[in-house]
Amino acid sequence: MLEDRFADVLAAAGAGDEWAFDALYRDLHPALLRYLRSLHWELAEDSASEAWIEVARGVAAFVGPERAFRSWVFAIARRKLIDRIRYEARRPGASFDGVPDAGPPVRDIADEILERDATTHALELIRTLPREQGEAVMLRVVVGMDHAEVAAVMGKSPGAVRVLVHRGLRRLERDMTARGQRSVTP
Amino acid sequence: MNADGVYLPDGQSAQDGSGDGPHDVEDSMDLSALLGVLRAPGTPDELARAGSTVADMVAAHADATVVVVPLRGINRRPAFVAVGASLGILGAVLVTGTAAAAFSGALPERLQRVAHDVLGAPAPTTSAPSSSQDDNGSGAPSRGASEFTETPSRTGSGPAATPDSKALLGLCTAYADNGPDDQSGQSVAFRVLSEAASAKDQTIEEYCAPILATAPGARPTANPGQSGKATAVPSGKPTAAPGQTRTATSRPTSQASGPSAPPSPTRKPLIATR
Repeated sequence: MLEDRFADVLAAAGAGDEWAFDALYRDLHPALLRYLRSLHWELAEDSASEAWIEVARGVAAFVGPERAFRSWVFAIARRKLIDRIRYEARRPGASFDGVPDAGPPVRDIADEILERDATTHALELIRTLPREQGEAVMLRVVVGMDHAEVAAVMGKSPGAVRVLVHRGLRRLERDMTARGQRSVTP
Repeated sequence: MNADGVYLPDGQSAQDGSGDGPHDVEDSMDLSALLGVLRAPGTPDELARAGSTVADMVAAHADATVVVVPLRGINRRPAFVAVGASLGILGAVLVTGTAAAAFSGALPERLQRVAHDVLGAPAPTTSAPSSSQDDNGSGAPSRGASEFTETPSRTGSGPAATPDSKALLGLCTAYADNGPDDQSGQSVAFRVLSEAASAKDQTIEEYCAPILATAPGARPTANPGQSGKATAVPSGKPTAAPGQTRTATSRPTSQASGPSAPPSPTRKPLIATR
């Protein structure tokens, strides 16, 4: 996070300074892209770009601390992803499950084993969770939002977010333990 | 903010408040490593679009602050103009078409009368049969009325005024056939003849006598259902008043020989317009 620099960066971004946009993008975009990829890999990149365009249009009117700004950006990105999924599905009411997501591109077995980076591998594990559990874990544990902020982004109550995070982490742990046992079994 | 090795930057447990036992995810090193990877700084691959996206952000910011308001005004104007033009064309078509119909006399009678008063279009034309029939007050069906008024209308004065000779002959013949039984005033022939006779201060018999007498060879036949009765007056003299029983002085001779004398059944529809 930008922390002490945030106020200056936000003011400069509101004035249209390119360096300020670059600072905001580099600070938030990696976590934003991972969050979106945990939901829908193939549409994440374009949805993130559209979200940043909308952020640039409204940043001059934004007033608030850095955590609120982060929640605002993630909420915009989530809505853009849903819009894209609906557009791709060509039917109203489609949600995250409306468009099949093939996940990370797989070229061959050798690539899968040797060349896949650690981030992609970790996201694959997150994507094994039920969608809401994975989303809650990403926002709460990876991005660092509190329960109220996650609840605001997901449109749920903080209590529901707590349950989702807890169940998601337990399931991840259980699955990783099982994978470790399988990997050491001759 | 998350470089201290714990899962949450603010030091909270990820499951705080969940109430699902003492389990702590920080005990699992595998899970901790996994989440650490996801919180790592961005990779070059993830930031590959930074340049183009930031340029787009600058352009979007400029568009949002400078051009949006004028564009909205420009975008709304064509829609307003299009709607206004469409309404104008529709109104012009309606006015022009109505005016054309008015001056060609194609409007319904009431509308044509209004157009005549307001625009100077031709006055509506009134159909003579209906008005003349209404004047008679017969209340007859339209088909019978048209049949009845066909001949008198040629004179332009209506059937009760001056019916022509053929019509009078038919009416008188019909009256002669049914006269004694038709004094109720319901018969068209009775009324027409009654009015015509009254105009000359005559009875119907007096009025019809010369007409029947001038019929070439025509002799009204006695009503088949009224044996011994006859209304024909071959001599041209008035006979008894309607209702008075008369005795035929001579048997009509033209019952079967007069081709010009219309047989009685063909005249029935002419006067049976009740």
